[in-house]
Amino acid sequence: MGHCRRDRLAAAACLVWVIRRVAPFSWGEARSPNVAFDYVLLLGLLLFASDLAYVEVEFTLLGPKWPHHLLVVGVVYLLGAYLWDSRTILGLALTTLAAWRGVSISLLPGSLWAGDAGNLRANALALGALYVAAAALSVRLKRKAHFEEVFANAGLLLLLGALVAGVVDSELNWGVWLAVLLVVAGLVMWLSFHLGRSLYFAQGVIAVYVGLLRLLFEPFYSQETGLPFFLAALLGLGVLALIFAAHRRMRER
Amino acid sequence: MRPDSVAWERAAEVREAAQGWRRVGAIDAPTEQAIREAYPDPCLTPSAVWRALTACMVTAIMLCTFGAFSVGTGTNPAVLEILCFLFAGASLVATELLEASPRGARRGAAGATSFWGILFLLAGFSLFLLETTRVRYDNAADMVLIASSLAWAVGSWRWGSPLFAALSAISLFLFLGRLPHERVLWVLIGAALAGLAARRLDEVSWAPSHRRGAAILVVAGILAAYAAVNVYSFDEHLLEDLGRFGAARVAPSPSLFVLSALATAVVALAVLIWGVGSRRTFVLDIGIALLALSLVTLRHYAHLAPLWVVLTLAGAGLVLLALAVERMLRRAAGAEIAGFTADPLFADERRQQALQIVPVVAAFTAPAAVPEEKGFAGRGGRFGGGGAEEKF
Repeated sequence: MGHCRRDRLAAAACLVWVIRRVAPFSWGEARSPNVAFDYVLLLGLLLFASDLAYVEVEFTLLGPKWPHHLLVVGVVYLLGAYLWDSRTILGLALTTLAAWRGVSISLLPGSLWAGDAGNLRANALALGALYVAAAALSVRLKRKAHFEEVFANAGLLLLLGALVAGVVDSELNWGVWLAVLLVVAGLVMWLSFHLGRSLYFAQGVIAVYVGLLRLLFEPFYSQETGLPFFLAALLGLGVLALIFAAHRRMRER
Repeated sequence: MRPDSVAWERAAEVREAAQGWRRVGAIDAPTEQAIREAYPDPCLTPSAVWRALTACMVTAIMLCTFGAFSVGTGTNPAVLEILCFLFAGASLVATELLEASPRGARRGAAGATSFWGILFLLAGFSLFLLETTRVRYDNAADMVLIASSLAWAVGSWRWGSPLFAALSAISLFLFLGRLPHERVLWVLIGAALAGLAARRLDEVSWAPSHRRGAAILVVAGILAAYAAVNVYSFDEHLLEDLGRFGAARVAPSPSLFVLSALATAVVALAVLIWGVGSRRTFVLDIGIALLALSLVTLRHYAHLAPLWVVLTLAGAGLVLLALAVERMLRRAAGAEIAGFTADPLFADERRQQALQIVPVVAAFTAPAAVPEEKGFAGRGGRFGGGGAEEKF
């Protein structure tokens, strides 16, 4: 219990310091008052989260629904991000909320392939769509518009990652997943092209390329032939031409 | 590097610096325009995202083409060896052609072709040693590491890639780790490399990317020397494990152990002092990181407090120090003390802040919750609220 009390005191000290230093709330972007602000805020919220986890384990308040403590932590992070204008905390909030739904946003393989893959993909799709919608609303309503990149990148990672996982992992209905992936990624690329957002465009391009690889390799599943590799290289050349053309057009505009 | 490439790179550096000066209001728009006109840059330079995307696709094309040929010609090692050399040659020719073109030099494609060209070359050389000449595995590993160090060094010099400089240094130290007295060699060569490269950091006759390569070599030299003297690496034989199969392991004497413990603290402090004295932020950063590593090493041997307490106190101490220094600098005359300032150094802080999100999220996000199972019996579990990963 001793270290728990110390954690709580340290978290409170960090957050009190942050509250005393922070600029008045606004829906616009606020500059950090000093070099340490973001780090002290991060430390305070992380200590709060570890304290909450400790309480949950000690007293099992949520019982079998213990993963819901991640929802509480995620919501607190989200409030903290808006209140103290921190994109870093927002990123942490979005990944913690994804973790609550069982999805790990990481580059490591397995997160959307493991366990009940269908359920995880559904969660990832729903969260991804929600985050992308939040990005659009942030800009449209001019409410922390600078949070758009964090919302949209996390959302697209989840959305396109789930669709690619569906294409690569499904045994029977991978064609349906591929069709949906092509439509969604095409839409993402078209929108990001018009909005001039290169990172979203890149995510769309990579998702389409990886998805189409299944289409190229599937007919040659049991044959030892270099043809699908050759076709994949040709597809890569086509994608490269698309990248150059899109970049030229974006620059011209 | 080709003289044209050096000239383009210098112009791009000046234009980027002018952009930074403009961003923080040090110059006005007409001045920036005048600088841009004085330093024309014919190269097309897409943003990092476009360059990375292009490099990814070029990589996919090269690997798929290699896959097509290697699967098509069977898995004969002799054929694979020839294929590796052919692909290496083609990739390196493609790199030269791309580097010579202002429209292709900085799009990311040249970086990918040069990287894979050198890797194909090394793969072909490895197959040649192991399959054609039947050299013993240990000898082949030595020769490949020497070749790797040379190939990446030549690549770094020719195409100005700091990444290749890092790979060259890594190969060199891996090779040295396989020789007798590897620890002494790491200290001596590491210190010599850092010292020699540090003298070239501001060498006007060098291209900017070569100077960045020199900075990478300074870092590599410091890290190698620190790894060699660190008491944990000494105790756990981390360098000795790089050696040849069956090499004898000699237990360290107690006096060497004490010397190593002292060096663990002294080297980190020396690097920190060097960073402060030289006003180089990357040396300061390395010094801080080494000091943190030394603290963790100390905690490993002396249980002063739990690791999380040591790290939290060290982090809090650094934050307090940063706050105190910033306050001192802001209050000083001209907001500057002995060449140090709290003002922005014309860096793109927005981009830096965006880059901070990735490591924070990667390090502190909780692991994904396991989907609920029917009949859950409350077996404790692994909690990690916001990175506080702990097993209770």
